Amino acid sequence: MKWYCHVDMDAFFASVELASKPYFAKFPFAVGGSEKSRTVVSAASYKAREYGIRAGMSMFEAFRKCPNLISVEPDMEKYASISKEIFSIVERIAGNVDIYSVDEGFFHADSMDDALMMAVEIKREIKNNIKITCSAGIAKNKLVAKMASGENKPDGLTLVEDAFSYIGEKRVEDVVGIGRQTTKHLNKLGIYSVKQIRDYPMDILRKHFNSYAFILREVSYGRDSVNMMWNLEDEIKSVGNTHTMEKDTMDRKTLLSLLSILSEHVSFRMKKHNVEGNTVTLTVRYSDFRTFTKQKKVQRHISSPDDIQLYSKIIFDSIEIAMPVRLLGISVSNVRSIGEQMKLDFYSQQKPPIAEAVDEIRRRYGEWAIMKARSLEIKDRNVKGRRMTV
Amino acid sequence: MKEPLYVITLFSDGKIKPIYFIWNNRRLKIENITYNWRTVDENGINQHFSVISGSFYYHLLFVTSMSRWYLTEVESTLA
Repeated sequence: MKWYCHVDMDAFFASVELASKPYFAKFPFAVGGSEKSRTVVSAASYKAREYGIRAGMSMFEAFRKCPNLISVEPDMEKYASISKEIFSIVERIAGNVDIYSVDEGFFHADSMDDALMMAVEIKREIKNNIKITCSAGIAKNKLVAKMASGENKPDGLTLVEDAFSYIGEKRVEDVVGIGRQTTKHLNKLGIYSVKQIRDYPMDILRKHFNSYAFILREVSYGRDSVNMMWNLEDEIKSVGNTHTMEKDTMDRKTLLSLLSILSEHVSFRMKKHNVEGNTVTLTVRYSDFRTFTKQKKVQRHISSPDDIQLYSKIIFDSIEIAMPVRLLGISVSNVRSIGEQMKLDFYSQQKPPIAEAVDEIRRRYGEWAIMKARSLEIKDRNVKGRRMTV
Repeated sequence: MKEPLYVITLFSDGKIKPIYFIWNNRRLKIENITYNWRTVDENGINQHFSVISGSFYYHLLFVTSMSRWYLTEVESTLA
């Protein structure tokens, strides 16, 4: 029987920076830019976490919670390089590696003892050579292994022999992949612990969660028979992106250019998740942080950048830009899987060959390998993704 | 910041170890190499070293293809 080990770096970016600059160790420390920058915290050291600072929080908020916070700008090249070294250690010791993200990955072994010995060796090598710590979780499937690695952070090692008992005791929100919205939905049904999912009548669960009910039920038994870790994420209800301008602006050309970029980005991600939607929402945040949204319902389901741009521009043209804009966002909601009800959709159109070619170029060479000339207006094309759920 | 720099370097066993460097007409002894990593760009492999000398932190960059050293960051360790 295969055993899986999830290896997860502890506060990866912050740990790498602290290894470079050990003199910051006694201070609360975060990676993410200065107080006045508009960035968010990418990683917070364990000392910073004592002040309530978490990844994803705005730097402004982080400095409000801890005025003595030391922050450094993220150096992604450096983290990618260190990540490569880490996973080469894992591969050398375990003979295999399945990289999940820049700071976490899995390996498998033929027995529990092998997995345990390899995990200890990997942890030691990472600590000695990379000068950072990691936590490892070992179980008979990836889902439980990933949950186990979070048990004793930092520098933890957790072995779960009995996944059934282990997961049964968990609250639903503690299960990897069960998000806030699903938790809320489960709580409304009176389900708070994973054990309760086992006992809940399946037909009622199906009524509320459709095919996702089967995944929830499997998880409740600590099983990963359909590789649920990759399927467990909440059902997508909308796909959206926002972008904060480097400088607030009222310039129509710049704002339209940004709409073009956002449309491309949202479309790319919708295609990645194989969904299309029929409601477009435009979000505008002014320089004084006042924010408003306006929606437009479309008669057919859309996912192409041209369609998303067309409808977001219709919304944009219907509003009066009253003051300099700080942030623009587009989201497409009421989504469904592409292919659903195709035969009944009289509005659906065949994708033109040029769109197929553009998609193929992006799949092969990356999202920004090809773009509309109007998108060139915006130099900083980093947009933030948002995936809203049930 | 990317300032060319003279660095007295030990090349041994396929490894590179900066020992001293000359900056602002002063010879500074590297007391501790706290971290090192590699990146790749159009010039090939770059080797980065985080080092401490006295009460200052320095980020040294060695561009392998040109065998040149640069100083890219300096900050006080007395936070």
